[in-house]
Amino acid sequence: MRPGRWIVVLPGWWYEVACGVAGTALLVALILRGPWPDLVGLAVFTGLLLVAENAQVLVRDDAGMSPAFMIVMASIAGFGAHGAILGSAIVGFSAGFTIDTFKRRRYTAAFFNTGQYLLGSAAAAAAYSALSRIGGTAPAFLGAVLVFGVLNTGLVLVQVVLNYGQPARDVWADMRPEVPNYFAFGLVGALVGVLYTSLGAIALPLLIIPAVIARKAFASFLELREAHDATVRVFIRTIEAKDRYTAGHTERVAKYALYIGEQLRLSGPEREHLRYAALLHDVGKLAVPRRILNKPGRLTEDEYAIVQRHNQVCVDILTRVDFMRSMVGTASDQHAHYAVDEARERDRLVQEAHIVAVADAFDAMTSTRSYRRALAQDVAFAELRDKAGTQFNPECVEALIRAIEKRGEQYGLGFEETEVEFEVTPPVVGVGSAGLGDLVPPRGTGS
Amino acid sequence: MKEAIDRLPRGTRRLAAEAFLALAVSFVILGEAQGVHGLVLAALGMLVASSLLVVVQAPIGSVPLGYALVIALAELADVSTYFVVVGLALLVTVPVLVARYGHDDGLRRLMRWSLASAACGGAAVAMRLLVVSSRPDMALLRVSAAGAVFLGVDLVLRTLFPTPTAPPMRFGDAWPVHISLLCAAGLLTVAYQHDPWMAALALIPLVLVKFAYDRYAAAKDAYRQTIKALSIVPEVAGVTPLGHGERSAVYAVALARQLGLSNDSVERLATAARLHHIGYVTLDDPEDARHHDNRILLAQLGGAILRETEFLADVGELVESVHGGGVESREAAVLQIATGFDHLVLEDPARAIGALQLINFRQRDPYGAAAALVLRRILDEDPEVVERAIASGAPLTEAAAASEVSRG
Repeated sequence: MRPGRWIVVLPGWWYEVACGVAGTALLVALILRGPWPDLVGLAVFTGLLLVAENAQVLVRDDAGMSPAFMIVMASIAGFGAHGAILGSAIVGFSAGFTIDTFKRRRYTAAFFNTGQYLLGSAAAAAAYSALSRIGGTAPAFLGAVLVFGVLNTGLVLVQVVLNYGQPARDVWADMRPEVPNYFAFGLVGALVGVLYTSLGAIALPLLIIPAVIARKAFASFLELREAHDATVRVFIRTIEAKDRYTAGHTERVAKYALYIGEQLRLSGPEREHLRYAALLHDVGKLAVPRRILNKPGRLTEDEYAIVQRHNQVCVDILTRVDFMRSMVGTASDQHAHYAVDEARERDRLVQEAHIVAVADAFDAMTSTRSYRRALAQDVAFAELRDKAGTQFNPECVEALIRAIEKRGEQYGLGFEETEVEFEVTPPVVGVGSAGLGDLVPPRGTGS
Repeated sequence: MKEAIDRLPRGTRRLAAEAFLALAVSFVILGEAQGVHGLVLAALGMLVASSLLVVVQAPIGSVPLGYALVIALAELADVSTYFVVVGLALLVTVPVLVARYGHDDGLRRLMRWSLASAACGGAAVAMRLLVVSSRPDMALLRVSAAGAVFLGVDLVLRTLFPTPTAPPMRFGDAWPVHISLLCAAGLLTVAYQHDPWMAALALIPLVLVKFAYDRYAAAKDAYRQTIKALSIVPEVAGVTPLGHGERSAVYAVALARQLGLSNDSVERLATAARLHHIGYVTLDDPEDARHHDNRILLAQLGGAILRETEFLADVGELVESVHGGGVESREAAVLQIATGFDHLVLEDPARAIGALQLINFRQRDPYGAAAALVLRRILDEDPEVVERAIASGAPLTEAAAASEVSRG
C-alpha cells in the first residue's frame, strides 16, 4: 500500500474505477428508463443501509459480514414489481458511502463499492422479478440471492487479487466460509421485504432489533477478547522478562500452532482456544527463579529438582483447570508424546496438546538457546519427521511443514527474528528438545 | 453405522434410545388417534422439543430458542392443538433435561416451561377474544401479548426458583435475549401466515443472537480460566497456600452479593481475590517472597502488573488495597475480609468461628467493620459457604497432594 497525502492508491485502482464507472452508467440508464419505486420505501431502505453499513454486524471471527446485502434483498422484495430494479440499484449504490473507507482515503474503493453493489442489486432485482413471474416466491428468493452472491463475490475477489497480489484460490478459500452467511442473510432480507409489503415499516424492527442485540453482544465479545489478549500479553512479557533468552518464544509457538490449526481446518473458536493455550504454555516459568531460568550450561541437581517440582505441580494442577488442560500435554512429556489412541484422539484438548507440542519443539530447535545454537530449518523438519508417530503427532508435523513451505518462510539458523546476546556463547550442538547427535548441522552453516 | 453408534458414550446412547422411544410412541398414539393430522402433530411436537433443547448462553443463564416457537404456536394453532403439541414436546424433553441438568434442576426447568406455556396459551385465547381481526398487524399484536406473558412468567419463575448455577436474576441482563425471542416469534407468525415455508427463515436472526451470545459466554469462560491459571502460579511457587485464591473468591462473591453490589463489582472482586498475590510473579525469585516482610510492596507490584493490562486496572487498584493501611471503599473492605478470613480458616471449617472473631477484632474503619458484620450474617445464615469455598480450592490441593505422593 502506498499511502499518499490525499488518496490511498492500490495496484487495482483501475479495476475499482472501471467497476464504479460501469455501475454509475447503469444507474444513469435506469434513471432515464424508470419507473421510480415508492419514494418513502426508497428513503427507508437507503437510510437503513447507510446506518447499517457504518455499524457493521460482525458475524464471524475477524471478518465483517456486511448487513448491506440483507437490506438490498429486503428492498428488492419490498419494492415488488414497481421500480424494484431502479430502487434496489439506488439502495445498493449507497452502500459505497462508508465513513471508514473515506477516513482511510480509499476513494477508489468507495467508488468500486458503489459500482459493485449497484450492479449486484440491479441484476438480483431483475432475477427476482423474472423468477417470481415464472416460479413464485421461493425460486425468486433463491435466484436473487444467488445472482447477487455470485456477482458480489466475483467482483470483490478480483479486486483483492489485483490489490494484494494473493492467488485467487487463497482469496476464495478466505471467502468460502462466508457463503452460507450470504444465503442466510439474503433470504432473511427477502423475507422482511415481502413482509414490508403487507405490514409496512412495522416489519422492519422484527429484523433490526435482534440484529442490533446480536451486534451489541458481539461487540462485548470482541471487547472481552481484547481484554483477554491484553492480560495474556502482559504475563508473557513477565515470563520473557524472567527468561530473556526465550524472547518471542511464546508468540512464535502461538503462530506455528495456528499454522497447524489452519492446515487441520480447525474452526474459528477452536483456533482461538488453541492460541490461548499456546500463548500460556510456559506459564509455569513464572514460578521458577530467574537465576535458574537464565543459567547458562547444565543445572545442578538441586536446581533441576526445583524446576521439576514446579513443572510437575503445574502439570498436576493445570489438569484441573478446564481451559488450560491442553497445556498439560506440552508441559508434561508423558502426556505430550503422541500415542495412537482413538479415544484420546477424539478429545479436542489432546489434539491441541499435540499441536502445541510440535510448535514448541519446532521453535525450540530453530531458536538459539543458552545450551545450543539454532538448528537449520531442514534439520528441524527432519527431526520432527523422525520423531513423528512416537514423540509427535505425524498429522501435526506434516501440517506445520506444509504450512511453512506453502508460505515460503524460513526459520532457524541464519533466519532468527530475535537476536539475543548470551553471556556465554552457546555451543553448536547441545542438549535440546530432542537427541540431535546424528543431525548436527553441516559445517559452514553453523557458527 | 453400528460402529458409529458403539463409539458414542453410554449416556448418549441411552438418551438417544429414550428420545427415539418417545418419538415412536408419540407417532403411534397420535397417528392411531388422528390419522395424518396426528402424525403432523407428533412431528410438530418433536420440532418444538428439539428447539427447546437448543439454548442461548445468556447472562441470566441458558434460554431455549424454542420459546419463540412455542409463542408463535400459541397464535398460529387452535388452543387444543397448541396444548397437545407443547405438552408432547415437554414430555419428550424430560429425559434430556434430567441427563443434562440433573434430576432437580431438570424438573425445575420443566416446571418453568410448563407454567409459562400454559400462561401463554391462556393469554393467546384471551387476545383472540379481544382482538378478532385477521390482519397481520393484529396477529403481531396478539403474539406480542402472548409472548410477553410467556416471557414474564419465565422471568418471575427464574427469580423465585433459581437454578443452583444461575447468576442472580437482573432485568437488565434478561431483556435483550427475551426481546429477541419476542421479535423472532412475531416474525415467525407473520411469515407463516404469509407463506408457511417462509417461517423457516424467521429463526435466522435468532440464530445470529445465539451465535453472538454463545461466543461471548465462551470467551468469558476462557478469560476466567486464564485468570484461574495465573492465580495458581504464586500458589505453585509455595508463597501462598494452595487454593487460597479460589477460596477467597468464594468468600468475596458471597460478601459482595450479600452487600447488594453490582454484577460488575462481584466479577471484579472475584478476579481480585484470585489475583491478589500476583505481584509475586514479578520477583526475580518467587522464593524470596517467603521472607518478604513488606506486603504492601508486593500488593503494589501486583497492582502495577494488573494496571499494565489496562482492562484489569480497576482490579489492580483493589489488589493494591488488600494489604494497604486504610480501607477506602466497600469493595476493598470485602477483598480484605475475604482474603484475611481464608488465611485464617484455610481448609479447616472448625476454625471459622475463631477466624471471624479475630477479623471482627481487627477492624478499625467503618467499611471493614460493616463487611465483617456481613460476614458474620453469612456464616449464620449459610454456614456451608466455608465448605463450598474449601471444595472450590480442593482440586488444587488434591492435585498437589497427588503430585507429592507420586514423587514419593
